[in-house]
Amino acid sequence: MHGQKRSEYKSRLLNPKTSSKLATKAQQWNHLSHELLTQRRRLLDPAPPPAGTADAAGNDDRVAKPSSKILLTLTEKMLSVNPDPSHLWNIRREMLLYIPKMEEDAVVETDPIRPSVTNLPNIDIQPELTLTAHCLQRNPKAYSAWHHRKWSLVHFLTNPTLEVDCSTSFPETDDARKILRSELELCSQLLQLDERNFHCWNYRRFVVALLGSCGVRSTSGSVQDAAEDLAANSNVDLFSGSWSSWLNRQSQVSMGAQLLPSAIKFSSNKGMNCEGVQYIAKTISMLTQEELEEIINNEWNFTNSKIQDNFSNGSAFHYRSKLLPLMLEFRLQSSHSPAARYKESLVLAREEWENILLNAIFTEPDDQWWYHRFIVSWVKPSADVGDEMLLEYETLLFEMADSLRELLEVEKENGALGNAVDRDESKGAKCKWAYLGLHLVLSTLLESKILAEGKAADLIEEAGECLTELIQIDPNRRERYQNFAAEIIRA
Amino acid sequence: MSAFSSTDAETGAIGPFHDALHARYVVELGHRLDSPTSYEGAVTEHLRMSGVYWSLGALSLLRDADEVDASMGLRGGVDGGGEENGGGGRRMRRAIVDWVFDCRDPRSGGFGGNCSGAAFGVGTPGTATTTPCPHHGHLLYTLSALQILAMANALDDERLDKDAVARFVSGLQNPDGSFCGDEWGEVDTRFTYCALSCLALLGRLPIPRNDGEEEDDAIVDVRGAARYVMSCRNFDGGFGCVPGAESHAGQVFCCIGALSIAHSLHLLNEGRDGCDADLLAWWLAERQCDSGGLNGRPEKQADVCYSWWILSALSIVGRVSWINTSRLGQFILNCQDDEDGGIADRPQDMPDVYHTFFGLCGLSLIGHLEKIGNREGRTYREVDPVFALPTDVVRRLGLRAQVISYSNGDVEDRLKMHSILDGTKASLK
Repeated sequence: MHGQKRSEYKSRLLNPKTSSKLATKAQQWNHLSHELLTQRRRLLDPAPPPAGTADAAGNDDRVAKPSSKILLTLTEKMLSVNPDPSHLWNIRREMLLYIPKMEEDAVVETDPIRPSVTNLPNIDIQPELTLTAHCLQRNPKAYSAWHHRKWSLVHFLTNPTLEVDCSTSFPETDDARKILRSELELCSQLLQLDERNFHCWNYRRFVVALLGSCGVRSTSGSVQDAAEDLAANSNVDLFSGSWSSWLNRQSQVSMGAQLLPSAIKFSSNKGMNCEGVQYIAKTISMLTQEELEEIINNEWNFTNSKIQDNFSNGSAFHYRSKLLPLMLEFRLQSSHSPAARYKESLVLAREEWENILLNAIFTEPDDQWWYHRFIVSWVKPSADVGDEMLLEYETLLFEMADSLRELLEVEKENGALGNAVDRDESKGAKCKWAYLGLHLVLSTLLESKILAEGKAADLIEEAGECLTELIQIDPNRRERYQNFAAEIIRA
Repeated sequence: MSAFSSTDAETGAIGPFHDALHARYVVELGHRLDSPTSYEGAVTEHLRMSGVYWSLGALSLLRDADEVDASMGLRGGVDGGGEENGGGGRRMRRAIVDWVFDCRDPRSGGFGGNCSGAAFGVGTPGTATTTPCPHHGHLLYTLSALQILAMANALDDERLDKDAVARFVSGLQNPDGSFCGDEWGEVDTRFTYCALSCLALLGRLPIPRNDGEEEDDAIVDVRGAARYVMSCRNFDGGFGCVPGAESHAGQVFCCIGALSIAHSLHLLNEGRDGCDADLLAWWLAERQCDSGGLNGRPEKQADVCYSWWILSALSIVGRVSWINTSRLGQFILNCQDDEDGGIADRPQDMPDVYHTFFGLCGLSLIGHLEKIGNREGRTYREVDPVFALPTDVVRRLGLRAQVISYSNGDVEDRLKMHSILDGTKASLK
């Protein structure tokens, strides 16, 4: 059991007071569980059984059908205690959507769970937000609770009964945005408690995608066209599958990432199949380019503040890797020649190196290496940018190498003075990441087509020295470093 | 003594392994959880199907099939132990296979995590029980159910409507290739693995043709599923649960396992973003902490379960040697409960069946279980890194996934039934 000390756990069980308390809780849970499934079956039973068919235990199934409210209350009770079971959330959603409709229409359905009704009711979102917030405070990693929150939002925002007209502004727009912005606030709070909660980071991206799902307003005024414009003009290929294309390509993609079509199909009526997002887009109304930029900038700044709080925040660095391509798009505006494009990406990469990485590397050198690797690889030029740009890339790499060499010198002196800081178990051996960073930069330089004659031999030697050092300080991964060494020789 | 010292030298300093305690822990677990007063049983009631799979999987690595059948009550009921119904006679526990079929959700065609009635469909003989009311069908539990049936050699049981289950699975695929876990729409790469593994176990998985032609009548779009998995890859070579989500070792297994079943591992080296199979393997190797254990993401604590998620993925991409296996083995052994059996997430923690199963899998994948067996004069079954089933079961079913080899197509015996992709060939480099 995650994080439960064996001795404490066992002594708790041996304590008669604790164990009887747990036993009572278990019996209560089992009772509720049984009650819920029995009630649900009663409710869904297509026809009452013929008279006189009480079962052997004396239960008579001809009792009046329970109301969906009873089941809602039961699921709330149970989920507040244990938010994990997905079937409980499923039952809750059934009760929210289909049963009220049936009760209202008094239809007899052959499959009451998936009735052929159209115009399903919208849900009252507030109780769902309150319940899931409560559950997530209890267990911030409950997949099912996060999913229910997403589902509720989407269902609420795609309400097919809303008559939405894209050409005018309408009050729902502000409501929807207000809700979504308060969702971002909730994420910030939860990330304050656990900055590595990937469920919460995912939810944050989901909300941002909803906010931006409409893409930008284009001259033609069509949401679809605007999104296609943006997608066509961004480097979707290069960053295929990344969050940037996910955001840009609108329609199914923006939602498809986390929750999709079948869920929307269910709550659908005519014209709303997997383009449910179009509805959302309309509900939220169209964002202007400025608004979209503001949203993304806000996220960019958010990751920055998270990193300033704690340099070893892999989740924030990860998010930054997804936002960076979008930042590039915003900065480019209208200039699109490969060289101009590349120049701007180089500016961004240099900013990341100087403002974020350099700082982080000098204060806590173990954690940012993967992001460093990303920056080096992301800004790697293709041949068509011209020699001038290739040279600028090379310059950046040489600067990185110099900083890393300097860091290694400082660390060596500290080490000699016995200032080695305590490490926790997940951190690598001393200076490992600086050596790896240097090795990365050197081997990237070695791939350069414009590298000055005679420089290669020195770089190869220095890269080899890095690997020798690494094998010494990090013997667990010896084979990986030997593999690198073989690659240098092959090249 | 002399016989021991030679094997000790051969095995390195592998510490004690509590075989009998672990077997007892697993066998007794079911009875403990069945008790209506078990708190653990109550809060894990909804995922009992997976719990049973982990239990059976664990015991199957320790004991042969007949012994597992007899002590777990796979096909025939077993004495439920205790007289917890207040002297109403000793309870017979329903055979696991029968219970699995009770959990089939006829409406969706999939399997739920349990069925109603206090835990595990226990009934006192002579008393009428209510008809089981299954939980909603879900891919997670459908895969666990099929894995249980596979281990019980019951995939041909007439109660299993393979077409209905296959329809349930394929019906959850989205146009972008991803899979929902159930009809309520949660999308996650975990479900891609579950879906492909389910179809493979059912013998219904269409393997993409090498000539690049699409098969029009295929039940699912395997290429699309693989493409979706690739869209979840990140700059560190790892995979997240949806596009844009950060890399997580558990998710890496699901994605690599799915690519392996889809015979699509070559996609790992086709990107133009500097990511390839070796970057992934390296990121996985960096998960090894100073304690020897593996963590799931950078800067997190080591946890025994990653012994499975990471080693299985490293086995599939042919790079197990990139971590220190003997230190990992020692870490797992340090997590044993030497009084009551079972393996915990970390040393000194309370064990559970999930970590017990994945700890044993880890020991198996690095060959420690085999060495321990040699030392103690036992033969342990091996685990398959793709299907998470004993290799003899995978062979019996004729399942064939894909693995990468860097030694001229040579792989260890347990992987030989799979198709081998030569990692040193230009096509992959």
